[in-house]
Amino acid sequence: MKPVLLLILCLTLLCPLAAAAQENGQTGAEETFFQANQAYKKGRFQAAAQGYLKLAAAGRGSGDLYYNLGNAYYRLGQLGRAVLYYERARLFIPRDPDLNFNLTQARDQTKDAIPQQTGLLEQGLFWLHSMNLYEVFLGFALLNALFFGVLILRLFRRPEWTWYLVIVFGLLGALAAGSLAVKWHQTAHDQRAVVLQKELKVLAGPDEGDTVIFKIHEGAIVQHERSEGQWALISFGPNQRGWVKAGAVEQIQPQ
Amino acid sequence: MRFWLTLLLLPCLLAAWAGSAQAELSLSLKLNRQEIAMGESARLVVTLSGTQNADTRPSIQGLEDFTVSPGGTSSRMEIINGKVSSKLEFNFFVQPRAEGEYSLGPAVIKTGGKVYTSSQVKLKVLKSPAKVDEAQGPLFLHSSISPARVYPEQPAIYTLKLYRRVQVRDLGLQLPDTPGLSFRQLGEPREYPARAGGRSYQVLEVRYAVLAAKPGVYGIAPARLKLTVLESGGSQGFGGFFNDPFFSSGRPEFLSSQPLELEAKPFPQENRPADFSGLAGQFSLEAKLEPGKLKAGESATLTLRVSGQGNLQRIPDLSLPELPGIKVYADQPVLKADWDQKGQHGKKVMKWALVPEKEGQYSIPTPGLTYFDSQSGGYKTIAGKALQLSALPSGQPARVVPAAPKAARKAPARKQEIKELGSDILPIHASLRGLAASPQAGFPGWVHILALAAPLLLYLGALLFLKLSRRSDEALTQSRAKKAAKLILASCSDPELSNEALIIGLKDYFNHKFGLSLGVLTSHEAVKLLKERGCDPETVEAAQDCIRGLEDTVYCGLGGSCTELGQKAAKLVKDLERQIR
Repeated sequence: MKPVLLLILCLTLLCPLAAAAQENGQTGAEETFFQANQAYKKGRFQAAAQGYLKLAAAGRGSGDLYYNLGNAYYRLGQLGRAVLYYERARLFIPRDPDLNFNLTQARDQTKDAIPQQTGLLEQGLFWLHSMNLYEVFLGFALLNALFFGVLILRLFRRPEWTWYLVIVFGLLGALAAGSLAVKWHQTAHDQRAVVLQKELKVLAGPDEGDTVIFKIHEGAIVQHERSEGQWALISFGPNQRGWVKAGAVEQIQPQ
Repeated sequence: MRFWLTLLLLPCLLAAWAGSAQAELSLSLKLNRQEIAMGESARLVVTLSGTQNADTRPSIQGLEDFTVSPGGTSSRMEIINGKVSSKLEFNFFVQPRAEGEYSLGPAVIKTGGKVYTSSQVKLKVLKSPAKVDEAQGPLFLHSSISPARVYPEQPAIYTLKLYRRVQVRDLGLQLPDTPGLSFRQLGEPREYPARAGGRSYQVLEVRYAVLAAKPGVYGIAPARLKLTVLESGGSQGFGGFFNDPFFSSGRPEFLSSQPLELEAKPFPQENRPADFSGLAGQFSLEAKLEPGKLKAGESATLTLRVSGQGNLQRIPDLSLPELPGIKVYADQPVLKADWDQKGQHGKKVMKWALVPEKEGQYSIPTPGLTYFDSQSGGYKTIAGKALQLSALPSGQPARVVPAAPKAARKAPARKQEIKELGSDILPIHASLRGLAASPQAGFPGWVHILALAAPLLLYLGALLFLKLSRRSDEALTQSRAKKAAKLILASCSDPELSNEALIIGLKDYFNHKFGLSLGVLTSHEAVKLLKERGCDPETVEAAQDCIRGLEDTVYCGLGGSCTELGQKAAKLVKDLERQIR
């Protein structure tokens, strides 16, 4: 009887402790966020960026946090990082007007004209550009629930209008399922990376002595194909590929 | 009848159209060239609009010093969107006898009892640029350059003329390639008749602007022209029909012009302004500030427009001096340039948005422009001027203009485009909402998979429930039927069983076995039921016998004994249990 009592006592004591720790963590994050915001407003952009980075590293990454981080780097004159974090914020809040305005502003200042390659499927499913993965999932889940809801109803009663509802929800649900699959694929295989250096030499091979075949500039978005040691293979056009130092580019999709 | 009516009306309509067209007659005089050289000719066209006929030929004043050759008359009528227009053109070729500036016209024509008079046109006759060799044959190429001494980037006009007395085709021109000189064609080639060496020629003229990039003496090599000379292959007896190029054979020929020289003089060092950008030509500078009165914090636009003729690309981007109390936002300068027969002309527009920070009276000094006047051969500076800008306090309402009465109100003022004065990013998102965990953070989790699977699972559950409930109904019916069978079999073996009890027992058995609710079971109903359920004919017959026997016994007092009927009923139930499951 005694061990059981002891266990109950321990659990009773530990639960409030865990809750308090969580609360402290929340308060600490809020405090860091507030201080970073204050630093930004006072023009201490480096401190602001560090605060936001600390929160992102603690798993607090969100659209607004990455947007603020993009702003801080923009103010610091680090266009590459600004574009990186704005693009990362777009993964969460793709329709945010502030974000889209600032991202356009930052993109306007980049030097390289790299054409964005859009597949036929992405052009057809144009709405995916303005929705994040979770929103596409919610749309599909809703249509899925409506479709099966009507099917369940039809097990008991079969008025004619339920048949049309089955057709409509079925078609929309199939479209939503396709959208979710494409968005999932886009997100899972998003290899876009942003150039972080002012000017980056793209070499023919993963060696300092290799031929420089291109030069690209800060803020340019490229495809990060693979990494080999300290080198990364990037591409930014149908026939434009080459090797750069791994730290010179960073992938938009957090790893 | 309708056809004849139309036929009658049509000339009337045409006459009415012609009448309406004739009602607005006008006479005009035009020259195809404003400048010609001695020995060349210009085409003079007198156009009488509004008619296709004239009572007399036009008389043109001011042609005393010209040799005039008629160039034919043409008339035309056009109907565009139901509107009829007609015109009559008289063509003349005029060739000057002396150099000078002439006013030709007015042309006068008399028609319909009225006299119509045109305006005048001006023609400048220059001396022949270079003497054309009198010994030249029926086909030669002549080149000239004017002026032969220029300043760097000042265009000289290089003119190539093909003199011909024979028919030619397939012309291919190769311009001289001189390092440091660039050629730019001015307009389309022109064709006109001219005299050279006392003989008449048809001249094809093409002009180029030649620009020297640096000072120096440039030798311009001969231009080369490849062409095919057509040779008439037919007899003269056919009235020139076979002179048509279609029936002519050709021989290739190469023509060369004479070499020329162009001297590009350096800009003089004497009195050379420090801010001279290499701009040469004739230019004007215009400055405008709009609005001149505004509230502090609002923006006014200062526009500087440099226009003229010369090397426009050398117009410098003018800059404003420091303006205390005023924020200045420069716009991208816009250069618009075009080429004509005299060279390059155009304008450069520079704009600034001026935003006074405080109220007050501001004097805005505008920059001046220095250029080299290639006509006078000296440097010129157009001084800037000071423009006045008054800024009212920002809180003070703008001067209120009382609204005019509705009738007197003008059309609404044209809206001006919103000007972008600067560019910056939008502020950070300071709300704590930004710190909230994103729903994407734990995606996809079990909850999300469950949310997708739940409707399907619910559907399958409902389907299963329905199936099970149906199956339990059938099972209940079967167990009841089994009980009923056991009951009746037990009853049949009872020696004290009455026929009434037997027929009731059989009815209950049928009801339970087949899920019926019969009050009375007749032999007819039983036969029909068993046939429907696929029982064999012997069993159906046995059932009929048994039930009929029971009916006869119970309802008519006839029939066999109770024991015999009980045995028959027991056999029947056993057969049915075996056959129907």
